[in-house]
Amino acid sequence: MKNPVPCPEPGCGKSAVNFCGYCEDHMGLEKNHRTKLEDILQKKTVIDGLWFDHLYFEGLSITGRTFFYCSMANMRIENSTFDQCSMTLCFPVSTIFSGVTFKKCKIIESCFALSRFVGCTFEDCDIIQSNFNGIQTEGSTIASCDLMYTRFIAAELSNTMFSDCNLKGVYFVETAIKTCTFKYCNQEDAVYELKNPDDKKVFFS
Amino acid sequence: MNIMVYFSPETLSNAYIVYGDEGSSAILIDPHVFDNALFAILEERNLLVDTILLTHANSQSNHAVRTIRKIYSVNVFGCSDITEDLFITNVETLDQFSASGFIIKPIPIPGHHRDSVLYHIDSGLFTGDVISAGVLAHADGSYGRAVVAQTVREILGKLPGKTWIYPLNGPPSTLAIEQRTNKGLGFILHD
Repeated sequence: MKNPVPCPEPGCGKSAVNFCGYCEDHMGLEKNHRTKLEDILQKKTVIDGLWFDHLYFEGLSITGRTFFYCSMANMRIENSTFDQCSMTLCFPVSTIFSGVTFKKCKIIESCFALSRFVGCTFEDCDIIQSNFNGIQTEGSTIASCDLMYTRFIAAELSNTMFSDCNLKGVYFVETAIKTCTFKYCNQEDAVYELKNPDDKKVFFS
Repeated sequence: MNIMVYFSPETLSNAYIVYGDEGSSAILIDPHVFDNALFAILEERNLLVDTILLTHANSQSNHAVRTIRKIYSVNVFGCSDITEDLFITNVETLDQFSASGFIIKPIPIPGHHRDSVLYHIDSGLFTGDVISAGVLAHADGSYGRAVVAQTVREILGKLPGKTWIYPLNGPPSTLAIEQRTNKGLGFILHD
């Protein structure tokens, strides 16, 4: 990510968003911002160093894109699909994902911390050494994924199913789990220090 | 500033390549191994490593530095004068220094390793094994742990919440996230 440019509005200390010149509060002053980013998403296969912070997308269908070193904080993404995409050093922090499907994606060294996943699916994904600390999940499915060295510290997992996943070296520390299923998962070297230790007896079988 | 991460499956650690938009000079942070894959990343981008930053020197990093010095002409920076047989530039007393076109602010961390230091470059904080996502470094004894926690809390207070954290081990994070999820620092989301 390039260093952010400060918003030129007097008294505003926030960072400007890519191609906009203004922060998210004042981006109405330039209306082409979102269009420019959508254009880039359509035309470029490698999206490198862009800021998508505070944007709202719905109904996206993104296939075969490589996101590298992008900031995606405080976004809202709904009813969208990421198919065969790659994300490395990306920061979708405090972002709300609702009805989003990640299929055959490679998510490497990325930070989804404090994000919320509602009705989301990760299928056949490699999610390697990524940060899911403090996330909240509701009604989501993680199936046939490699989650090696990924962390779910202080996460709240609710009605979430982990199926046929590699959990090697995954941290479930201070994690609150409620009505979750862990089925056919490799739990070698996984670290469990759940918020409620009895949860492990109930949900890990 | 551009950053690339190289995860070594051999040492299970991250090394970071930092380079500017122009020129070919690059900083290599915490190389614990220098293998063909890392060399290929540098070659693909025509980068020449001229600076190595060590957040803590150990036998693995020393071995990597010896290899790198056979290929590149590098200045090595750390928080000691010498590690094994390698002379390095000690940044312990510096507020900041310049290398590879970047202003680098070293932040020594007492209480962990004797030579532990973080590096603040632009909006990135390279934390070595002191802070990782949700995890604070282990230190000997309760006094050591308290010193590390207090020092790191003070750093968190001085830097913007959106400062990116790039650790030696584990995934990246931001200061704002650590302020909410790092139990070792006394912060935890549910409390």
